[in-house]
Amino acid sequence: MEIKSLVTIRKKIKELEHQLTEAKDTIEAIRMGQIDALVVNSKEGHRLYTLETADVAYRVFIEKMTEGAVSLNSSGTIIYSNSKFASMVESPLAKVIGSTFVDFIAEDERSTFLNVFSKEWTEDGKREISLRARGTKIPVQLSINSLDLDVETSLNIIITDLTFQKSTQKILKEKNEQLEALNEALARSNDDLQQFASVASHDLQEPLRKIQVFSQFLKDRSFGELSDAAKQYVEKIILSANRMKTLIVDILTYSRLSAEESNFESVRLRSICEEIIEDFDLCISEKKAVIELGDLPSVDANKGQLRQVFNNLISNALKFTTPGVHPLITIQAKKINAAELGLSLPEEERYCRVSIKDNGIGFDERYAASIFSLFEKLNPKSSYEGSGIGLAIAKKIIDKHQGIIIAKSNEGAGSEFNIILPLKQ
Amino acid sequence: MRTKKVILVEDDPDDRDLFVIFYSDRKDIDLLPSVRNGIELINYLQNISSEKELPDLIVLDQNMPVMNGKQTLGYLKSNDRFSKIPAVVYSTYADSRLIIECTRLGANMVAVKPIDNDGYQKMMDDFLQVL
Amino acid sequence: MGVRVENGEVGYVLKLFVSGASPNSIRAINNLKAICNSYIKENYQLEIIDVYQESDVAQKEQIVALPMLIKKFPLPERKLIGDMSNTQKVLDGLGLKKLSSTKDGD
Repeated sequence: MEIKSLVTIRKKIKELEHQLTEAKDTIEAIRMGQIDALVVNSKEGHRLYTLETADVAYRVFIEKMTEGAVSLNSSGTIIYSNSKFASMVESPLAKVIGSTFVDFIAEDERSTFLNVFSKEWTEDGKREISLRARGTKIPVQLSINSLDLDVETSLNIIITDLTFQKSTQKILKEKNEQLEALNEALARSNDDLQQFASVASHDLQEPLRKIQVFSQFLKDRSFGELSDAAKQYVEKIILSANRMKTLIVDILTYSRLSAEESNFESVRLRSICEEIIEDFDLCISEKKAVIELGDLPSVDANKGQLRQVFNNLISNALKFTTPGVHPLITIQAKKINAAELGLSLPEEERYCRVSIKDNGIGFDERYAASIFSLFEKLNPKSSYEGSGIGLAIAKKIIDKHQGIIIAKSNEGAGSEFNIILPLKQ
Repeated sequence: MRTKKVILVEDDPDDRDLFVIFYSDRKDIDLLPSVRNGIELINYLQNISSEKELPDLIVLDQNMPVMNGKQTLGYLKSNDRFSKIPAVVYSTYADSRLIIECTRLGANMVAVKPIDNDGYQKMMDDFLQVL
Repeated sequence: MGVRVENGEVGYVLKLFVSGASPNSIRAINNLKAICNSYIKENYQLEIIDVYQESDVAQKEQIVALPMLIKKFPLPERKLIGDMSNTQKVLDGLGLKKLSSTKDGD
């Protein structure tokens, strides 16, 4: 029993020694300035007493902030300000602290601020306002938080300078205005272009009508005096003039349609091709060309425009022929076979494919895409006539029909144009 | 039927010739000497003292220098003395806008210039019908 | 490593109570982590509790001053107050003995 109690006492002493060490260490730590806060357990619970050094980090943090920071007491007096705020309002720090915050707000916005000021004590929030700096106004955002401290409630405000943001907005606004002006200019120049197309085609029609009138006149009044060959030429003049009239009207219609809604009707592709082949009759017999026309479907299209497409493609096929070879042009509907054409086309059955293939000079496959650009001519001007606009027009029309036009060729081995069009618009 | 006095206002000499060529044989019209633009027409009309001498039909080309067809038409229809004379406009191209504008101004008809004899005869028939 | 771990089987469970980002608290975190990594690497579990943010957790412990380290395990529970700059004291508190070959950096 005695031995046991001795053991207990020793144990107790050891424990007390340990507690003493802990207490000594604590006192030493406090003395050495190694602690930041003391904790007291009072009736209200756990209270923290921060030592002088403890909030240094926050003080430095707030002081170094690129935003202004102030604390206001309940009467709106600044009880704390960081230097940034003082420099924002261009006043010495000593003058700022103790001032009324509203004095730093631009005069014409003070009443607004005072109206909301009372509310902010219960509701945290953000608002934009202007500060009064020497001579100028600074747009700022206020982030307002009320903080319940032991002594009294204070209102903490972070003030963010919006000058840069506002000037960025201003620049953005200016850029937008410039863009608008450019768009207007573009619209104007589009209008001008439209006007030009319209005037040009109108003006072309006057001399053309003269050709029509006088060739017809020749036919009506002096046909008997002409040789058989001359009669044929007169007929060709009339046909060509009529054809030109159609083309001019088509271009005019097209230039108008580019600004308007397209009106689609069911168009028989085969009859369009037949008409065009008839137009090229002279050229076909001259070149001893053969045109094979397969069964072609009907599609929803603008007839004049689609006619222009086939006209341009057939005309090209007749133009770029291989010397010494009878031109052979095949126009036929084909299975779409998207993979072969390098396309991905969902719902293939909604589309048709028309192939226009010739045995002419072809073109370098490298230019397969660029031949559809305006005024792109791959062949030397001397040997082949043409405006260079035909394929561009064709592509534009096919685009307007939600279709695709693809050119395939090997130089010297003919070319093939594939038109893929939706059957229904 | 009394022959109608028709005056052509046309700057293009070919088109003036065509009127003579195609219409000189017609018995129902009396082709007055053509004038070259709206101003000449107004001068011509103002020099006519007797109402009976005024033309029965004025055919205006649209595309003319000095005063085009539409402008001439506008003037005629605002003039008490000449507004009752039937007037038509013809042009190489007659789009819907030209037709609408001229009809609003009081044109009896707007026509596209024909290219052959049949066209010319039919156009004149149409003109005379609306008198 | 010149340390003999008294209980090699079970790791250390440590709680460090701090008062935000105040200087001694920051120092304490840095020092303690360095000591743990050198002496009981991967054999400890350290929780750092900001008394401002988690006053409930702090409430349960008998905290006198901050920063304060509590060794919850292995028993007996030990407390150490200060910035943990005296490595020997920290090792003592953790119940670790330092071999004489390693010099105390304090």
